[in-house]
Amino acid sequence: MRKSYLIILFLVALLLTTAYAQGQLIFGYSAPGLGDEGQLNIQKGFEIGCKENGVKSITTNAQLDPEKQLRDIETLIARGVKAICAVPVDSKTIGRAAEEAMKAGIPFFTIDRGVLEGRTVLTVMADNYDAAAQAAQHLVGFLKGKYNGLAKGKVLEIMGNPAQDVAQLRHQGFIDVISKYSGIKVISKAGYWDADKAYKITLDVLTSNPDIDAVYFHADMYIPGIVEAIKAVKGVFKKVGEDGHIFILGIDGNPMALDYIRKGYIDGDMVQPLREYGKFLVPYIKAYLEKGEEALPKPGIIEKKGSHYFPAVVEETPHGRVVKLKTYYVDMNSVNDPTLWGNIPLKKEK
Amino acid sequence: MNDEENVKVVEMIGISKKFGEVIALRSVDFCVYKNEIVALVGDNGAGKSTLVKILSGVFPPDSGKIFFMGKEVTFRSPRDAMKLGIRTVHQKMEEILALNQTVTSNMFMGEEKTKKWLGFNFLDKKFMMRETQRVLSEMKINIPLPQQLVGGLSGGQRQALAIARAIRQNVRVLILDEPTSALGVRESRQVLKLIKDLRDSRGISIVIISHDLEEVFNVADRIVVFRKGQKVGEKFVSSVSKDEIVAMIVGADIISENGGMDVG
Amino acid sequence: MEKEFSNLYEAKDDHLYRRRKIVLLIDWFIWIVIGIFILLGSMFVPGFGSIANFRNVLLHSSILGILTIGETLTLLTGNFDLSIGSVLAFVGVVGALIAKVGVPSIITIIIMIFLGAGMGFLNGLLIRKVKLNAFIATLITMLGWRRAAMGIVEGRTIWNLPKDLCFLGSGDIGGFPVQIIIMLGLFVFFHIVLTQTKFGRHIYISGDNQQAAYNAGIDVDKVVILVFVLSGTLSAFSGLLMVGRLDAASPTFGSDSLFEAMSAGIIGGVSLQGGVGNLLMALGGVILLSVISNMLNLYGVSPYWATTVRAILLLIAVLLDLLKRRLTRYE
Ligand SMILES: Nc1ncnc2c1ncn2[C@@H]1O[C@H](COP(=O)(O)OP(=O)(O)O)[C@@H](O)[C@H]1O
Ligand SMILES: [Mg+2]
Repeated sequence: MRKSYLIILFLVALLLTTAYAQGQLIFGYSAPGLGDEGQLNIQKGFEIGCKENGVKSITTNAQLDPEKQLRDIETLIARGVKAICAVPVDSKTIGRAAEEAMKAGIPFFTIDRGVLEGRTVLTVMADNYDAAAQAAQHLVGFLKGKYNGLAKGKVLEIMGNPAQDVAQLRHQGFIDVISKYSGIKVISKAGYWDADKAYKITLDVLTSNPDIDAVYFHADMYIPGIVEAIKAVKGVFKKVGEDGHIFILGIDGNPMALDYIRKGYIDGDMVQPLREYGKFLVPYIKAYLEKGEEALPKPGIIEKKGSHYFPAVVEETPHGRVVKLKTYYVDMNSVNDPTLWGNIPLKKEK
Repeated sequence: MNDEENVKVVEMIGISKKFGEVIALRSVDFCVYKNEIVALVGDNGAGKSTLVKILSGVFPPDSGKIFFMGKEVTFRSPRDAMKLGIRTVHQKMEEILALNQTVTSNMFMGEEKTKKWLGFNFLDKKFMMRETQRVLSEMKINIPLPQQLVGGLSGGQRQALAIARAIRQNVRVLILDEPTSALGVRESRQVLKLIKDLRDSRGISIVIISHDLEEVFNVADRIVVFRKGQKVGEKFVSSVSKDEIVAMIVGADIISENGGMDVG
Repeated sequence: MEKEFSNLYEAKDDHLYRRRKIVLLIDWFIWIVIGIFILLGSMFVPGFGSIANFRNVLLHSSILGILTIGETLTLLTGNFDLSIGSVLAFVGVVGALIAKVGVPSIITIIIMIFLGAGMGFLNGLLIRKVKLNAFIATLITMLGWRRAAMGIVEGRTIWNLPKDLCFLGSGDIGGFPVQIIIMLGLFVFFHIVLTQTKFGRHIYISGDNQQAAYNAGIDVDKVVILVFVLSGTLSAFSGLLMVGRLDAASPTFGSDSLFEAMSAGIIGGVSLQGGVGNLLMALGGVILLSVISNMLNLYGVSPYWATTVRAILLLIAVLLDLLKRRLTRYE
């Protein structure tokens, strides 16, 4: 293990010296783990953003270990990168890394997730609360359609890991909308981002509540489990538009989800701007290095015509300035939109 | 010992063994004749157990050769030695018994009896149970339940079980490493009698390691003395006294002819 | 087991007899607990008592059960296999990729099974030939295979697989799910292997006392390596079922499997120290964990309780194992 770290360090050093020789700007990127599609796309987005702006990027992978992420960031600091951008494994412990970076005079940014301790210069993330609220609005529409204008029914919510703020926001935004309609009952279960758990939850809840009208999910990875469990309980799967169809919608926007929409298995998905984060952030980092604070987006609203992910909301928080990009609802009608990242293979964008 | 019995069943030549820095055996020659009882004596750490472990295939020697009935053999595992009928009751019970398994399971360890059923080999549990009961009662070993776990047996019962297992079948050279250490006086005597009977009735050779010289002189034909990894003496019981053996064990230089040395 | 206890009543020794009764009780403790849970569940958890829900409990058990068989075998040899979840994921992903290329499902399945066997063989070699301890060896393969699975598909999920590949995981025969039939069949098969064959005996003896087994002429290397091959094969099989069940494959599959399968075995009464336990006990652990996770899905308690309940059960199981060891020892 030790040895492999040394080798990696050596390679990083080698890369760096060549980069320095060319006088190129280097940003460090600390990924929490690159095992899932979401993180991979976020990282690629950052890489693309850097390339477009003539910046070199170095990526480390914390493999879901908060301690390793601290060491990764220390390594990046030691390598003399000009700015560090991280997706925190743990929104609390990352505070220490942010502090160390700032002490070394290296501005610290995060994307996808915020920090709960310490400060960042700027955080870019999706508006998870808004995404959940939008999903809830669409769902209410479906239920009204089914019950002749009456907002009633029974909904199964499959949450992420309830200890994480992403899951909390995706739950709260949903519940805050739904609770306005007293006729809609929600059963919430934690799936811990595990496809098989989603299968088991759907199986059990649907068996004891055969009158479930809809399933709302926190992540695309749950989709196969939900669909297959409905098949297992009901014997058949009624597609979108068929009589007895159970509405299914949620958040993420992976290629798989788009395919399930296309085939009529699920109704819709809130698409996160995964590849936008980096593209949006990198120019601000560059500008910040040159001009400081004033280059950052001011609290308020950022408009950008022609993008699904704007208007974005900029807020000043105790932990630094935060930009929340909008999520975008995709259904059967909009699923073939070629600008959706889920429709652009990773390889092509390289 | 007459001529026709003067056949070497086992011959070990120039056996050496090191454990790290410790030299356990230094170029030792050792042999076992047909139908004899040979005793290995020596202080703790003299290398006796190491020698018999090599002879039972537990580990190979660093150098040296082993012959069985005149043919050179190499043991890659205890299984190889067992195939030739070399069976050993090692000194430490924890090296031979599985405490959480039944008496029967231990009795047939590694040599489970099977029977064919629908073309597959299944354990013949009935046979093994009956056989265990038979062997135990034949040897007058007091273990009430063959399906009892060995962990529930006393030290003496365990040692008796280990001996019973070793002699149950197909044995040509029986090696007993301090077989009576956990036994009472009466039980020890029983085991010694058993050893003699075995030699007389089945014509096997026996290697016994013991600290009890009384016992050794009582049962053995020949005594081999070890000291610090070397063989320092080899005597027929009929031609040596206890005191001489003691002197060889501790390494006293002068041995008084009339046995006047006061040691031990 | 039952066979060997049938002579119990002939025991003359009263003290011994009483102790054996307690040990017997400990051995079947898990099934008593299951009985209590089912009773309470039927009374207090709405929707628990139905036949359809019972089927769900068995569906929860199928993949976990098969993994637990493999884990129990390795536990019985005094080792353990940390890599089962990763093997499941790797084999699942590779199988799905192969199937996507258009390879006939039967060939895909064969490749998956052999792949799992090979991965188990590697574990066995690392432990018995390279002489790494089981923890290090299977930790390496656990991390390695998971990474490899992630690397191959770059974190993506593969979905929409051939129907016949999914049959084992989601099909049914006369309304009865195939995955449950397979799981129960494998339990019966391996129970017979463990209790009625020489190999089974050698697993127990090797796990209980490796040196004694070796000295008695048992090829411990062969026994342990073969057990790891079986564990790998069973993990691959679980991967096959998981892929079929979800009609998808992801490198994140089975992330919790290791913890669950090990808990199931240990809660059932399989000792971490090797040589003690059997598959009926392990099956009890599987069913109990499935009953609990099913109840939690039906009942509105905080999901954190699941972990707490499991921790308590583990503690009880370990204490009972200690007690049993003390009761069967000579004093
Ligand atoms: N497995 C082993 N590893 C290391 N040293 C050993 C081992 N077995 C024996 N020894 C050492 O070899 C020497 C001889 O031991 P042993 O053959 O057991 O003597 P004896 O049986 O005559 O008392 C001792 O110094 C002992 O410590
Ligand atoms: Mg000794």
